[in-house]
Amino acid sequence: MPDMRSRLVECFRAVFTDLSNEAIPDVSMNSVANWDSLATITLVSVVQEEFGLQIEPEDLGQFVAFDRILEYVACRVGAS
Amino acid sequence: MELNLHHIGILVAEIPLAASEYARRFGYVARTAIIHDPMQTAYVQFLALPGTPVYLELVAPDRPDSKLTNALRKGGGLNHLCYVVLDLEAACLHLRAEGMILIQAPIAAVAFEGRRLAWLGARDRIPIELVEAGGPGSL
Repeated sequence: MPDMRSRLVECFRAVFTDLSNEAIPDVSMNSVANWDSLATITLVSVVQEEFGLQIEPEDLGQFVAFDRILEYVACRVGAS
Repeated sequence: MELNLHHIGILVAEIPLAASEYARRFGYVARTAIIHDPMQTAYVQFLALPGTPVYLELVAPDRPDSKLTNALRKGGGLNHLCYVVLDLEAACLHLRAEGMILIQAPIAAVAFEGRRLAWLGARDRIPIELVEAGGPGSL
């Protein structure tokens, strides 16, 4: 999980370049001004590549906050 | 998989105003009436240059909380590219295998008289719409 967490932080850094590593674990769609629907797609794309997942349309609703995405990725990676 | 560019989506605040600007500046002609598309939470109208096969789709939010309102606040403009395909499922599978994200699974579309479309996205922040090919004379 710690490694997964740091890998997910790097995914966020790739999309939201102005966020610090320390701030990222607390962010959500509501707290980041430039986190719009296109940023979500970019983030999903980066996460998909980093963790070797294929993310389904019905799972896009999980991509609203760092902690929810971390839970989702842990669940998907653990299940595969 | 064969793709053909069908239209370029341009996000605008008001379709009649934008349509008249495109007509005056470039010679675009309206090919449809203004259509309400509840799925996109938008009004849309297709324009084309006489004798050319690719459309311009003007897209405008249909209400203050439309999915498109935030993008319009950022200035609007280029919104998406749409390709016409013979086999929608096969095209979606191919693009997903290429790393694209399926945003909207195939669904019937008002603007295309019930033909199905799908939406995908990737890192380049240009959403891609795929639409099934129609018969002769269809949009």
